[in-house]
Amino acid sequence: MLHSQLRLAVMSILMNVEEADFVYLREKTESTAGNLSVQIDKLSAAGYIAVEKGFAGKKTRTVCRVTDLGRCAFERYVDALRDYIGR
Amino acid sequence: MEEKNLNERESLELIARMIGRTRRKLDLGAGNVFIFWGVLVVAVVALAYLLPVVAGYYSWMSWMYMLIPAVGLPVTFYWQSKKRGDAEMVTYTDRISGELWKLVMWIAVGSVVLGLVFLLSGLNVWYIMFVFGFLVVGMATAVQGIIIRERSLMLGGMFGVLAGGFLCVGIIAGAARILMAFVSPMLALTYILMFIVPGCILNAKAKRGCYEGA
Repeated sequence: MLHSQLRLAVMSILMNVEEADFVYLREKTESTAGNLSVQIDKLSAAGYIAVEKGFAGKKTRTVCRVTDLGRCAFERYVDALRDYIGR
Repeated sequence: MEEKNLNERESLELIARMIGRTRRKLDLGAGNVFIFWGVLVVAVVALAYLLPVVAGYYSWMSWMYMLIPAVGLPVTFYWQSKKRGDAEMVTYTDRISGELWKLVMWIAVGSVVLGLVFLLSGLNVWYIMFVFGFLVVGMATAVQGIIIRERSLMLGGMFGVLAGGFLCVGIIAGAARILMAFVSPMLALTYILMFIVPGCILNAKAKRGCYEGA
C-alpha cells in the first residue's frame, strides 16, 4: 500500500501534522486533484487515514488525518526500509 | 507527482522531502495577536486609571474592564476566520496552543461569573480578575513560550505569574485595598512585558524568517 509514490508522500505529510486539507496535500505533493483523490480513497479504504468532508464558508473542505492503523503501518514500513538499506 | 512504485532509497528520500515541506516558517505578523491584546489591556487599564482622576469617579467606570473581552474576543475571532485560507494544515503545536488559549478564555468566563455571583451576594471581589490577568494569563503565556520556544514569552509570562503571586499573597494578608492602588500600573507593565515586547520580537523573527514552527 505505501510503496506507491503519491500514497507514501501523503502519509509522510500526515505523519508530521495533526491534520491537513486536500488543497494543502495537493500543493505539497505537486499532484493532480484527480490522482490525489484516488490515492486518498485507497488510503482511507485501507483504514490508514480518516477523511472528513465539511464546509469552510461556502466552499467544500476535505480534511485528512492519519489513523492509529496508518501510523503503525507507516512505522513498520520505515523500519523495513531501514533494515533493507542497512543490510 | 506521478503514481509509480519507488525503490527503498527513493522511498526514504521522498519521506524526508515531504517532512521538509511540512516545516512551516513563522507566519508574518505572528506576534500581532499578542501586540493587539497587550495594547488593548494597557489602553483599557490606562483609561480606567486616569478617567476617574480627570472626570471624577462614577460607579460605571469599574465596568470599563469589560471593554477588554468585548473588543478583544470579536477581533480575535474575526482574525482567525480570515486566516483560514484555501490550503491549510494543523500542526500539533497549533492544536495545543489553540486549546491552551481556549482554556484561558473559559477560565476568564468562569472568573466573571464568579465575580458576578459574589457581587449579587453583596461582596465586591472583582480583584479576582486581576489575579486572573496576572496568574492565569501569565502561566498560559509562559507555556506558550515553551511550546513555540520563544524565550521572551516565557520570561514575560513568568513576570506575570510572579506579579500575580505577589498580589495573591497581599490579598491573603489583608492588604487588598493598599495593593489595588498600584495594581493598575503593575498590570500595564506586565502586559507590556508579557505581550507587547514578545509580540514585537516574534514579528521581527518572522520578518527575518529565522523561526521554524513545529
